[in-house]
Amino acid sequence: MKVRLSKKAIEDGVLRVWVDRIPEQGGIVYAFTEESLKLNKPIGFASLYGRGPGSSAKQRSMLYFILEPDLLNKELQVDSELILKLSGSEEGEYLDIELNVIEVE
Amino acid sequence: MTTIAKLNFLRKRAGLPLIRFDLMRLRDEDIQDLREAYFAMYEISDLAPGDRRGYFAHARGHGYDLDLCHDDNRLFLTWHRSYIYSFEKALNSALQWARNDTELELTLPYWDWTQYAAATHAPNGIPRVLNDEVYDDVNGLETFNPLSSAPSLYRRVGLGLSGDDEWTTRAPARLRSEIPQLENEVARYLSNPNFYAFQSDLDFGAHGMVHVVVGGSDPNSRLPFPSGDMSRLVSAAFDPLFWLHHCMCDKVWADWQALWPNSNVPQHVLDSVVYDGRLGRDLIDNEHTLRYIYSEDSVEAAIGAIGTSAAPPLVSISAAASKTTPIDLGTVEGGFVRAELEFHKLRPPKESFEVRVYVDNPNCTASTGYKSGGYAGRAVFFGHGPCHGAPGHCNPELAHRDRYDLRSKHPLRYDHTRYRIDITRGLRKFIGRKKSVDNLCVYLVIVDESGKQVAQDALIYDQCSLRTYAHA
Repeated sequence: MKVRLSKKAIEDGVLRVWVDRIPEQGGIVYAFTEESLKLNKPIGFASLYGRGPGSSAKQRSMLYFILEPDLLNKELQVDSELILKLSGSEEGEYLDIELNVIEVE
Repeated sequence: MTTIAKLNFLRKRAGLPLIRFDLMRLRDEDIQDLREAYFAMYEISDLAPGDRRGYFAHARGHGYDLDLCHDDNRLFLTWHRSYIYSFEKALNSALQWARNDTELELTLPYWDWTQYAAATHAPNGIPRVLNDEVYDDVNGLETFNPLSSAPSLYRRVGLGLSGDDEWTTRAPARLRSEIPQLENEVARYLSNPNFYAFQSDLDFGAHGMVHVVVGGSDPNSRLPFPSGDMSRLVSAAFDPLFWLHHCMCDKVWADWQALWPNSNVPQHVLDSVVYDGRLGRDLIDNEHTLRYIYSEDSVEAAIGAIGTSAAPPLVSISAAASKTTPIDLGTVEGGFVRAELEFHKLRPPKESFEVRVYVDNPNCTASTGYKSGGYAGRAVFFGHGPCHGAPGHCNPELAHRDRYDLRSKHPLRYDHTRYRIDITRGLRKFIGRKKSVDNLCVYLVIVDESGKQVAQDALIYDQCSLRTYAHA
């Protein structure tokens, strides 16, 4: 899935991606630029504390990405597109993920 | 030695708030108290899963199977403050139960996950006290460490696992490398005076990260996801480390409150009811309402600050019971519109039975019936039944509540009970047209479910009085 960097994210150095309901799955979500994806090297990550199977929890959830300061206003600019992927069970394995994003800060 | 549990008992007696310490500050005896308290909670849950002093009764409230948490992310801080408060009180109740010592006030320590030291932490970043599966007890015997893993109701009942698979697991390979980042993050959150912004960054930042990296990645996990219990909210609270992690989150909030004393807490947070029925507004002031504070200092420093006390323990004075058979009501005047026999501090009975009241009939029995013989009225008591908890569960004397323990009262407390039996018609009939009757006595017949009369001591109360009402 893809998100675009907001002005606030560039100013804060933190990208906040709000999801409408806490997902069942969990793990580490990695962020890539198109270039870094080719190299399989994420530029940031966030934890996804999922609800787990059987839970009826329905709260909003947020992915909290700390952006690399060296990349701000260089590779990472307002409206830059980021590709989000979920950690796989193998080292360096990244899986596609789809979340119902309601807001990007 | 003055342990933390003893120190806090002294502080409570002195009217001071209890102290929650950094886990790394605990001495061997304090760690032993913590281990024993956790183990006692597991034991209580094994004896009776529903016993509120037990581990399952609390852990299941987070995600399995009561699923009380995570419906409103705006209540993250108040919900968890209330949650670990109730857990902490149960932890202390369990230690008191295990030690048969009521003069203990064990508090939950916080695990400061922004710190790491090779001498005290496992290479994976978890303090050894929480990480190592075994420890050497006072006799040098290798003993299971109940802080490293706990039995999980989610695993046992939800997933049908048994044996070793019932116990929580962790795969924290990534935790240690995250620790420096967590320290930076906490500093960042503390700099933001906006409550919701501070809360959501802590919730979905460091708090979530610790959950996910402690659970870690484990392809061989017996859970329906490839990681340990901490990584999903349905299972997380069964990990014993969960409570110390959330104690740290609560401390970060307390630190933020100290930094920003004039920051507004949103009305929605103040007005919302959270875990154990507490209102958000009653959870804001941890020091004065909940009676606890955090300390980064050593336990010795806190002991030095309070001094030692040689004062004898407080002894409660119990009221003398004046149970009487017959029950002498003295002079009773007629002309009332309603008359009730009122029992004060009546102990909720274990068995179900019927209590019949007869006026001026010392020979009344179960066969006297309702039509004659001075019958005045009756009440049927619905007994609470045999104890379904661990030993001590149905003893309200072991569940003392005060301003240091705001859990709901024990259901069998009798301090404020007032049971009334309407005896209007029978008493009116007896008094008839007289203005008053002197030395009026009533008699009780107690009948069990089979109609058989049982001994008078089935009904235990402190006092009985007649309450009459006149026309306004």
